[in-house]
Formats: sequence, structure tokens, C-alpha cells
Amino acid sequence: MRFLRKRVEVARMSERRVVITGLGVICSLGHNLPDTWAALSEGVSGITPICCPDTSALSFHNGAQVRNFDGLKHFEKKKLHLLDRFAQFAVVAAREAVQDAGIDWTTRLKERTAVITGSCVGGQASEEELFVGLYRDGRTKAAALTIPRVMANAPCSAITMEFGVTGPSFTTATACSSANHAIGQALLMVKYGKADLAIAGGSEAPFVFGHLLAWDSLRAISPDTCRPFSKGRSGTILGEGAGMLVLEPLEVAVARGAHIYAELAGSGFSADANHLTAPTEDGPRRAIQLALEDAGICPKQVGYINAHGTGTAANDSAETRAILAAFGKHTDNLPVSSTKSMHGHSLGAAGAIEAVATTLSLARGLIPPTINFLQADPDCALDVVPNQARNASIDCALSNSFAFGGLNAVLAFKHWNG
Amino acid sequence: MENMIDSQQRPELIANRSSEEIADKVILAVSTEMGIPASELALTRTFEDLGIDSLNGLSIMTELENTFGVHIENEAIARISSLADVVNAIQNALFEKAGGGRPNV
Repeated sequence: MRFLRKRVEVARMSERRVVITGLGVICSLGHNLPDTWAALSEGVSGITPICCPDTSALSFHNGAQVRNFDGLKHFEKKKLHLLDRFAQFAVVAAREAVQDAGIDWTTRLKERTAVITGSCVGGQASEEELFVGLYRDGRTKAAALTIPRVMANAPCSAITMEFGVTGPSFTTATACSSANHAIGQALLMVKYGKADLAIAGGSEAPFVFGHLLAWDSLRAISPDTCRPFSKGRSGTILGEGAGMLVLEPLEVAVARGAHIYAELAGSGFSADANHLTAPTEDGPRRAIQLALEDAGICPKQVGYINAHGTGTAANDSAETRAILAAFGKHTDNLPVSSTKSMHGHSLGAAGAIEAVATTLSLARGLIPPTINFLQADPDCALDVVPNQARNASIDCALSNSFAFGGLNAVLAFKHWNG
Repeated sequence: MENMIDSQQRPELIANRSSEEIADKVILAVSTEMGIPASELALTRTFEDLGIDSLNGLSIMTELENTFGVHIENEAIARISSLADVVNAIQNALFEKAGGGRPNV
């Protein structure tokens, strides 16, 4: 037993604190971090009528699309054909995050850098182009690079090639939790010395007709807008984009004089083992509690939760019950907002965009609101920061992601006092 | 969709094109894939000097196969160096498809 205790102590000593030193984002609110944060803090909606594809055959017509994105502004033509829209977003966000972190690349650091990205549905535009070509337009050949453009790990691979990094790199695919699982894995890698730097996040571009039609059949999309936790909510609104974080050991970041946004202190993962689409209270509650435990923080220290908050009837009430079960009386003093009300639900990118929002909330002392809020719902008895951002000094924050298939991932952040 | 060339035209309508017509399609395919204006392209240009790597080359050849309704063997693709070689490969494939054997070019 004594031997075992010693081993546990050694293991604890080899854990490294991990901090966030770079952020990058592209979504319906902006093509970069400053524009996106300005919109988040002002409660601006990125939800508008879907401009492409034509939605006249669908029962919903609104989405949170990345407007005026011209791939040629970011990639030379001969490279652009290699990248589906969701991979382009990922590289754009990763470039911003890496530049923000001010990384000084060495061969050794490139070998010790991990790239971990999440995606739920992969290269939808390339897949749709294949089927439209074959079944509608009478093509006999598929575009040569359809397979490598569609694959869910294309953004991960593109980022490794962008920076020439050669460390452990892979993709997580857990529907709406994909990015939180990716960031959580990156945290583990840096924490336990498997990597000295990580670029982690998620990206998604689901706005093609066939995919929207499938969402329509699931009856989960609002014909109106996204009103998380509000009475009168009628479903979620799809979004697109990417978010990327640069993670590194605290000691390294301090030594090189990097700007530290916040500490990524812990992660909690769980499965519901219950239903393909209906959420439970228990799975999310356990993920929340595991994240708190991993981060070494008690419930009372949490001053903000960036909720999964999709705006569906089922998610928001189940998430409320999970938060109440995990935080008890402290829930009364715990602001919980859903930024999906502004940037929509971008599936495999959602957790990454929300991790960026949560990180900046801690760093800037401002909680983005839940917009489109009409009236309190007794099934969602939370302080949801309705419609207006709020100044708040936050010590610790969580970001929740709960996926179809019952796979839950929660990230825990700490304010950096540096 | 922009790299889909003549996708609305049925291959049988394009059979027996003259080498000038084939050359025009080849130049259009290269221009579309690489973002190089067609006016800067000539049949003497090579994949190498145009910066066409293996993936771009694969995309260009697949689009041309689709346009002309032919299949070009890997060995024939591997021998391609210039845009004129692409035109020859397509002509050969069209002749073979028509059952006429290889042309005397």
C-alpha cells in the first residue's frame, strides 16, 4: 500500500498545469477573435435567413452561417481544392490561435506538438457535390479528391501540414461533444507530458441541402430562432465555423513570457448509455462533477457555466436538472448562459467556439448573454443572463457539451491571475 | 462545383472531338484547377513548370475523364509531362473507346 501511495504521489508530481495562450475563431459572429468577442459581449445575433442552399423545401429557413467567406483570401487556388469548407475554417482559426500565442517554432517543438480536432459530420459540401454530380448531373466520375476532402480528420491533417508539426495528432467524432472531447484529450496530453504544445478545437460546415433535410426529419431545428432555456423555445439553429485553442504547460508559458488567457484546469467525460437523441440528467451531472474533481475546484468556486443550451425542449430542461443536481443551492448564484443563442449550434465546432467564449469571459470579466430570451420556464430555473451581457469577476467556469448518442464532455477553466 | 466541366454534356455528344477542341478542354481544366488564366497556358507547358503536383494532376485527369467519358490508365497518366501529353492521352482513350485502336499520332 505504501508503495502504491508513493507511485500516486510521483504521478501527481508529474502532472503539469496547462494554460491557454492562443485563441482563434471563425463563426457567424465574425471571421476572427476580436469581431466574434465584440458580438458575443454585445449580444448580437449571428442567425439570419440561410442564403445557400435553397431552403424552400424545408420547414426551417434560418441558420448561423459564416457570411462573406472567400476561401481564396486564405488559400492559394491549387490548395483550396484540397480543402472542404470545414477544413478551411479549421486552418483559418488555427492560424489565428498560433499567431495569437506567438509560438516560436523549433524542430523539437514541432515534434512535441499535438493537433487534436473535432468534427461531427465531416466534409458535407464535398459529399453532396459527389452525389449531386452522380445522381443529378449524370457525371460518371467522382471528383478525384472527394475522399480526402470528406474525411473527418482532414482539418487535423491540414493543420499539421500548415505548421509542419509532427506530434500526436488525431480527430474526435462525438457529435456535438466532438470539440470538447478534442480539447479534453489535448489537455491530458500536455498535462501528462505526451506533448509540450497542443492546437485543439473543432470545425464544421453543415449547410448543404441533403444534410439540412436530415435535420428537418429529426424535428430538432427551430422554424424561428434559438431561445435556450426560454419559454417558447422551439428547437436549435444550426451554425458553422471553427474554434482553436493553443495549450501549453504553465511553466513554459511563463518562462517565454506568453500572454496567458486562463488555465484549462480539468475535463470530465461520461456516457448516458440510454438513448440516441434524448438527454439524461445523470450523464451530464457526472461529467460536470468529474470535471470539477479533475480541476480540483469545489462547486461554490464556479462563477459561470457556458451551457450546452441548444434551445430544444429536451436538452435545456435536462441540463437544468443536471446543473441543479451538481451545484445544489449554489445554482441560485451561478450564471449560466448559452452563446448558441448567438452563434447557433455548430455541432463538432460548438464546444470549441464556446471554449473560446468561456476563456474570454474569465479573462475579460464579462459573461455573454443568452439572447432571444422571452420568459422564464419553470423547467429551466437558472440565472441564464437573459439578453444582456453582465460584468462578473469569475474564478472558475465550465463549458458543457452533451452529444447525441449520450456522450458528454465538460471542460473546467480557472481565471489566471498572473 | 466550379471544377465540374461540361458536367451537363453527355460523353457521347463529345466523342470524336478534334485535337483543338480537346486542347481547349484541357486548358480549361488546368485553368480551373490551378487558378491560372487560360491565356497563360499553352500545350507546351509542363505539369512541373505549372506547379501541378500529384493531387492537382489527379483532379485534372479525373475531370477530363468525366468530360470525355473515357478512362485513362494509370500507366498513361504516369507518362504525362506536358499539356500536349494530356491531349494525346485523351485522344488515345477516345480512339480506344470507339474500338479504332490507337491513332497514328
